[in-house]
Amino acid sequence: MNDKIILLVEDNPDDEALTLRALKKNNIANEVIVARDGTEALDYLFGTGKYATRDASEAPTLILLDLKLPKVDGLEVLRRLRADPRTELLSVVILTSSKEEQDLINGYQLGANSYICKPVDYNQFIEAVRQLGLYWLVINEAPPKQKL
Amino acid sequence: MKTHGWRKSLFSGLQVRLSLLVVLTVIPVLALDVYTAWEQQRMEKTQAQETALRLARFVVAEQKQLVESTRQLLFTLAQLPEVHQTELGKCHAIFAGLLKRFPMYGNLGILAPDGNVLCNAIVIRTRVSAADRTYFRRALETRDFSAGDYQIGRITGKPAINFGYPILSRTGSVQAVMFAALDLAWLNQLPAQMQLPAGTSLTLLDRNGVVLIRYPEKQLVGQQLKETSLAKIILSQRREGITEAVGFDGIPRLIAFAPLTNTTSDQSAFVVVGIPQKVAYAQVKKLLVRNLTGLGLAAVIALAAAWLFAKFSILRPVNALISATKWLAAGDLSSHIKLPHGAGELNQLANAFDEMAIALEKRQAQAKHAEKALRESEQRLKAIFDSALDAIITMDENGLIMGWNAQAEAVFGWSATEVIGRSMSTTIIPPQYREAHQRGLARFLSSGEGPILNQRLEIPALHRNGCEFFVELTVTPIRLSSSWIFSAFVRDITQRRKAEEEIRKLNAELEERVKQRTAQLEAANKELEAFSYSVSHDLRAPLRGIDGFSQALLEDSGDKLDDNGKKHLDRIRKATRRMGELVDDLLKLSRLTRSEMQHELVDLSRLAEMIATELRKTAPDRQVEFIIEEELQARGDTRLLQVVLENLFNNAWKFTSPAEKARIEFGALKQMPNETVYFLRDNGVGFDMAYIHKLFGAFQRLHRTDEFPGNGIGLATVQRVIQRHGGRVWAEAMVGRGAAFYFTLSTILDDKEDPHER
Repeated sequence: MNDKIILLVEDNPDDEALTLRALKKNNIANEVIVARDGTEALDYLFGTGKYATRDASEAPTLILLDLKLPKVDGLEVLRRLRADPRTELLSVVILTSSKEEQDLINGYQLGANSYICKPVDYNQFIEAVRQLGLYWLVINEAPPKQKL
Repeated sequence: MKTHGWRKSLFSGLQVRLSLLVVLTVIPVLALDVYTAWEQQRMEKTQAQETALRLARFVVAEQKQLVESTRQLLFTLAQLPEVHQTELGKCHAIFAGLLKRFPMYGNLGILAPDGNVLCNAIVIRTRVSAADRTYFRRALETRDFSAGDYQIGRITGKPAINFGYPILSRTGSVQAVMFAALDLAWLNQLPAQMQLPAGTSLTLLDRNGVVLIRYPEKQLVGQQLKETSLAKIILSQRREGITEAVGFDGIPRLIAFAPLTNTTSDQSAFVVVGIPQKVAYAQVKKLLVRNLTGLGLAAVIALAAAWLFAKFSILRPVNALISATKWLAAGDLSSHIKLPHGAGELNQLANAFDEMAIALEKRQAQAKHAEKALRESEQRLKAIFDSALDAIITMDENGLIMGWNAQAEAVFGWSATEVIGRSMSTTIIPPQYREAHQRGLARFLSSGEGPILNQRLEIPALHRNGCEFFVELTVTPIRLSSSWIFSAFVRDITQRRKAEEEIRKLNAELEERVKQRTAQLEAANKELEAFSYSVSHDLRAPLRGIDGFSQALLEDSGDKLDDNGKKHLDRIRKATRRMGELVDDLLKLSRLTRSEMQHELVDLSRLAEMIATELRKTAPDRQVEFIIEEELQARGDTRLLQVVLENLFNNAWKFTSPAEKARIEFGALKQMPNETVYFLRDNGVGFDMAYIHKLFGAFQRLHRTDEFPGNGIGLATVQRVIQRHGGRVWAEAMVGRGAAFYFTLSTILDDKEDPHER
């Protein structure tokens, strides 16, 4: 269970803190890697830049991807990782404030596994995080590792 | 003059013809009359001749009787001894006595064998011998009774016939000859006794044509008439006969004659009876004259009657007809004959004539009326022709100008008098088009095809001053009885072209401006999208932060806060959540404005049922009656219309919550023929119509949030959607009595985006 890494791509520190708090509140103790923009996320995933030393084969079990990001936005990140055989099967949950239809469509078109709109109500947010943690980390069977 | 002559000839002709008719009627009667008269005359003639013949026969029979009597007398006398003695004195006395007893005898006596008179009844002074006399010699020869000729007696000097009878001796020789002279004078009395027609004549003619007896004129006696034609006829015939001839006295007579024979020989005389034609035919003539007179009189009367009848009964009406005809010919149609109505052909003719005159009058009046109408129409057409704002030009088959109205003068600079008769081609057609014009004209005249005819063309035309300018032209061929003419409507469109050019330019500018505006709008839209996106992300994130950290504060440091502080934090969180909802609603509204619309058939009734079902689920305990009309359909965007109904139903649901028995009704108004008006009615709390203007504004509320929750975005959304559908929405309500919302949806929505899309 502990080897299941969560990659949180979030530029807003408040949201980051609240998300981490919500995870903690729901007793999700998995390692959480936070990337604060798209480039950092991609660096982490492909072992480039800041993460050049990282073993890129250690792929996160779940990527929580915000859409609105500095430099490379979330959709672009998604597009790139779906385009790369190393990352194409990763579970990506878009976790964003946007309820824009277009974002939903684009997200799913690019291969998002799920789309969750962050509620303003924090209690609801906590609940959402709880459910998604339960689902993606416990219930859902991740794609086989050797394939990655 | 001609009419007069004709009339005169007709007059005379008619009368003459009628008279001729009368005469023709009279002729057979006349002929019959004449024939009858002729026939009667013939009968009269026969009758007269029979009468005459009867008389003649009578005479003959009488004479025969007398002859027989005489023979017997002489035979008897011959037996008398006294006679034998021939004593002169004695026999004279005997004979005289006998003569007295038989007055028909002129004389009686005895002749000696030598012919001398021995003795007779008359005293004679001279010696008289009868030796040469026929009767004497015959008596001697035949020794028997003999008759002599009818002759004038020698002794008596009277017409007589003598008879002899021989007195024979014992030896048989002739001793003497007895004689008797039969006096013929009795014949003179006969006609008078027999009551014969007046003027009847009786003649005894001897065989030599000598008149022996003549009644009534005695002076003819003894005359030799052998040479007269009548005597010739009689003497040549020598038997009984009748004839019509001029009598011996020179008077035309009907004659009957019969031979008067003696017994012994053919020595005969002839009895000739003549009745004057005049007398015989008198009756016939009288009758004929009377008949003819009567006939003539009748004919004259008939002629006169015919003449008068013709004059009054025929000529007068005919005259009336003729004069009426004359008036008619002179143009006076009001002259009628006005004969009294009758069955006669002339009356019928007159009536027919009157009817004709009336019909003619009517027709002339109509013709006059039509002529007037035609004249007016012509004037009207002329006025239209001249006042038309289009140039109207007519052209004949040869391409020559026939008509040129005032506007044509203005348009082309030529006056009508200058161009009529000129070639149209060289007058108003620019040189480069003239050949095509001639070809087109020739083609039309030969084949009837004219592709440019009967349609509006815009072509250049030539002004008198040599300038070419654009005209709108319509050429129409018009078929006259034997040729074509062409009428052209020409409008100078120089101004219009200029205007059109202007419009084109303006349009192009407008297009450009629209493009710019569109670009601006598109940019604005993009900005709006970016804004919305930004709001969606950036406005909600801080709110989540505020809420989240407030929660964190409460959780982490709640023990350091007093109750008041906790309450404050609660309020912060509530406000944050409310703000989040507002942002969400605002985004929703903005999405409604921007999203693309579908146009499809929407089953409103089904949508309403679904919404009602959902609402019931939210509060199963509530008593709410939904009345939803079935089969309400509309064209539009299903999703957007669902939003509309959801909002309206939600409102109704919300504002009927205090009611014990809530009723929510959705349907369409029936009394709207041209458009469908949908309504949603409830019996909820209603609202004050004074605030109706605020009803559909975004974030406007008519109720307090603590009474009825809401953010004032629902009806703004409804209005937005209805407007995007080209419809209207309005509401009616009373406080405490419920509210009704009405909306329409445009039926003319097509697949194009509506103006709000931009």
